Amino acid sequence: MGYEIFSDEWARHWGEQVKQNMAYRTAAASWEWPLVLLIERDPSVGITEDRGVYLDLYHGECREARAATKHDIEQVPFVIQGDAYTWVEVLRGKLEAISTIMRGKLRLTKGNMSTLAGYVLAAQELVKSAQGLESVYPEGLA
Amino acid sequence: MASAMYRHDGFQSTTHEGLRQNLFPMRLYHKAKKLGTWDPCSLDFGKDQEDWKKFSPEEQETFIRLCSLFVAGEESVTRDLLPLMMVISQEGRVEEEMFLTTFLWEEAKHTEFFRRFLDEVVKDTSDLSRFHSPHYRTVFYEELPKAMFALLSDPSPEAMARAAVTYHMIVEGVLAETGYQAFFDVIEARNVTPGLKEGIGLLKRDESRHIAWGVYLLSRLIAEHPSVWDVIQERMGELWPHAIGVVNELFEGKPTNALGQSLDDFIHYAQEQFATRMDRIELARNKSLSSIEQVLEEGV
Ligand SMILES: [Fe+2]
Ligand SMILES: [Fe+2]
Repeated sequence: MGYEIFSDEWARHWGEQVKQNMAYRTAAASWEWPLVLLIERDPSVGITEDRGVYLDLYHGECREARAATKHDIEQVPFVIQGDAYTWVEVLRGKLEAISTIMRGKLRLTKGNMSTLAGYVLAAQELVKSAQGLESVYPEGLA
Repeated sequence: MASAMYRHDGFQSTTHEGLRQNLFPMRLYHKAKKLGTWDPCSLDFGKDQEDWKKFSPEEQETFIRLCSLFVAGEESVTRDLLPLMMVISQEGRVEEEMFLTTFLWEEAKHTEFFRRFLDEVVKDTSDLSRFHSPHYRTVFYEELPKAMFALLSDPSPEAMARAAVTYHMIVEGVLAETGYQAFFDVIEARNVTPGLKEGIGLLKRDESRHIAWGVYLLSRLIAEHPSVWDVIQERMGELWPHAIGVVNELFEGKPTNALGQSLDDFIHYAQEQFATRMDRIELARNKSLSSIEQVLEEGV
């Protein structure tokens, strides 16, 4: 059985995967900012409200991973958001993550792109860890 | 390849179709004959030489650094295009090959242009490869020639896509175009080195045709072989760390360089152009080959 993407359980399992990802650890050695990844509300695929994952990432460690609260979104320095279709395509490997950010299909709605640009490999490794999860996708995109 | 394959079963130009003027590459070919014929030797570097003497040592160093990346990049695309041209030729795509003859000539002139600036304005004959940073070396010394020359033994659509992503999307589309635009803006804003500015303006116009062909090629490959889309994604993923690495190395961890160029602007330029092109390529997932071949795209 799998976990619905961007759910609290899915986020926690993702965090566990990130902890075991040595390539991430190396690539993110100097990254020290928590971030939220947000999937936008889309009732047509059963996502009735914005859903976020909060990742507390510090010097290669994933210190915490869970569903994001409104407070998290206000507090974190980086928020990356996109629609359900785009996230599903990224998680399935049909869209490459960095290209998707460069194209603005996943948008950096909070934070500085130049800072993020220094951690391209780390971002790719985060996605790889998520791709290792057994994910349940929204109806209509499954 | 067996020597029996080195023969022609016929010639496109003597068929009832003749040369297919409505093919997009043919339209690029006609444009190149009008717009791509400028001569790097006829640019006037007189004022550039005066301006050069007034630059601070830091400004001069940044100019030389940028020119060392540009000139080697242009030499690299000049030297590495042939395997791709050879595959196009072997596939009998004469209109595309005709366009590529202009392409290769233009890359040669771009190399000549930057070297002439270094010789006549900068007057620096030292070894400029000292400016070639690790990610730059990965892209231009390794990934680009490797992807292009792989076509000599593997002309498959997948290998073509890997080559085209490397050459057109990353090297020309992200690195060259972003670098030239940012350099052009600085020169224009400061009203210096008019010869260099004129040349970069002309060169940018040439590059837009090259990239337009790259977008066309990738779109055509996707329309013919849908699985090529995944290859493109994978190749982009392999190259992003190095492409963005080149930009980061240029700024050495600072937000701006000695010419006042900002890392934010670089990233912003790269994003804008890349987004438009990838959106166009993605459209090919749902398009027929004939609608791609005859797309009436302007702005080239
Ligand atoms: Fe060029
Ligand atoms: Fe070019």
